[in-house]
This record gives sequence, structure tokens and C-alpha cells, in this order.
Amino acid sequence: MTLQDLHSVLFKIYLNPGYRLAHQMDPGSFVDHMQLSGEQAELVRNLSPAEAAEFAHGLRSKKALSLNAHMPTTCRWLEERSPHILRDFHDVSMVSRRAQWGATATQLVEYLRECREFYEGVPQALPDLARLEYLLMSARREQERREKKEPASASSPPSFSWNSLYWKAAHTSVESFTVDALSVLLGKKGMTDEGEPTYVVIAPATSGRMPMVLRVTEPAYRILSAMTEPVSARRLHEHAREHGLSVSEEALQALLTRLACTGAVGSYHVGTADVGA
Amino acid sequence: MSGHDQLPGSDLVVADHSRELESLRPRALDGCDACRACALWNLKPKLYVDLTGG
Repeated sequence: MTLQDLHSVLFKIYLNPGYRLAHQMDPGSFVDHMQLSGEQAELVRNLSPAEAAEFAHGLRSKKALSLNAHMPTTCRWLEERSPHILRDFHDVSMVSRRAQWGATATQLVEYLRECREFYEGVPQALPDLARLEYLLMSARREQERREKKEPASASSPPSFSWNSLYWKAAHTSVESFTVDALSVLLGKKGMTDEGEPTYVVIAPATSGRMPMVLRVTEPAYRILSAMTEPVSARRLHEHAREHGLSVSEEALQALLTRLACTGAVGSYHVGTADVGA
Repeated sequence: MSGHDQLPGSDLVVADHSRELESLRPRALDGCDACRACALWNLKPKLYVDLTGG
């Protein structure tokens, strides 16, 4: 029996209401069930239910605060209109101790998608709004990490050529939403006033406090979604044509130049003279 | 349209909402506030982060 085993049992008591109830009802049987022995069994057997409940409540509050900071608009709507959904989520939500940052927020997005199937009155916009808020917070976090590492410095805009390579940067999100989640977030539309599908590009900004958030057209979304690996501007234009996307050369050049300037897409300049040399 | 930056030069970008979203910036999640549970169990904030995943 290791210290890790003891921690695992304590985590179960603190994080899972079912285990906590089992411990509260019969600490001796609980210890036997968990196969604890010696000092560790003694410790868990003597853990006061009131202390366990108080600590569990603290953890839950902490988790709620964290979620609220990740998704303030989503959480505010839930607290005001459907607090039971948040309560249920906290009851069933479990994350690994080694989970990456934002794991609980990601879980909430998926939970809200499922909720639409078994709770009445959950707007279609809610999971989209939660996802949008999560992406904004993720980009902001990366932005702050970069600022601490190396403060932003002015750089000259990359030259455009049709042979140059472009790719979606690691922390850039290219997303489609079934509703106009951006307008809901900005307070221009209500949660049930869904509007049209929205396509957005979110990336850590090189200046300012908020990430870069661009609303783009569906053709732009489809082109950017195809940029998971470096691809030449010429090939991207061909890709657009092959898929029946109405994209002019000028518009594609303007899009790539703008996104390369902001770092939302990576670029590697290949001049005309470099080709075939 | 108003309230966001228009982007000349590309009919693929509808609008830049970055400045508009500035007002929605949520508070920073720097560090871990002391709270009753931390004090009760004398836990370090890192363990709290592990436990809450946040």
C-alpha cells in the first residue's frame, strides 16, 4: 500500500458524492472495500464526514470558480436559468489529476451538447457559446504565456508569393458554429435568437489584451481548415476551385497576408526565383 | 455595420471583433486564492489545481 493509494482513496471521497456517502455511512466497510490497511486505513476510518464534506464543498466551489472564469457568459446563463444543469455537471464531472489545463471546461462543452437531448429548454446556442468562450480563454492563455516568455516585437509583414507555404499555426482555432455564437457572446443577440451559422478564426494576438477574433466567410473557413500542413498559396487556390468555393486570387492573397502578419498562420516565403532552382 | 473593425482588401473576412471583445475580458486566473478548504487541509495550491483540473 503506497501513499499514492491513500491519495486515490481520498480523492474518491472528496470528488465523488457516492464514495463520500459510502464513507459517511460506514467508514469501516469503506476502508475494507478500498483494501486499505495499517496507518492508512486508520486515517481514512477516522476522517470525519463533516471534514470530508467541507473539503469536498471547497473543491466544488473552486471548480465552479475556475469554470466561471473560463466561460463567464455560459456559466452566468446557467446559474440564472438552469442551475440544476450546473449542479448535475459538477456531480458527474471527473477529471484526471494529470488532466491538461481546461479539461473541465472541455467536459462542460460536451455535457451541454448532450444536455440538449435530455433537458428541455437548453438553447442550441449554449454549447456553441461555451466552446467559443473556451477557445477565447485558451488563446488568451497562450498569449499571456508568450508575453511572459518574449515580449511582442514589431516585425515586417511577410512577403506574399503564390509559391510561398502557409499553414494554420498551432494555437489558431478555425471553427464553425451552428448559430451566431459570436453575436450572443457580444450581447447583440439573445441566447434563443440563433441567427446564421458562424465561421471564426481565433488566435493569440501579437498586441492588445484580447486574442484576435475574425468572423470569416464559409469559403475562408473551408480553405483555412485545409491548412493543417504547409501548403502553397497556389495549391490553396486550386483547392478552392476544386471544391467549388468562390474565392478570387486577390481575396485569397489578402486573407493569407493578413493572417500571416498576425501569426494566425505560419508562412515560409518562396520567391519565384527559388522555384525549380 | 458598426462596433467592429471593417477589413478592406478581403471579401473573405467579414469583421474583426477583437476590440469589441475587450470589454468582455474575464478576470485573470492567476494563482489560487486561499480558501477555507486549503487552510483546513494545509494543502498547497498545486494540489488544488490537480484536484480541480482547473
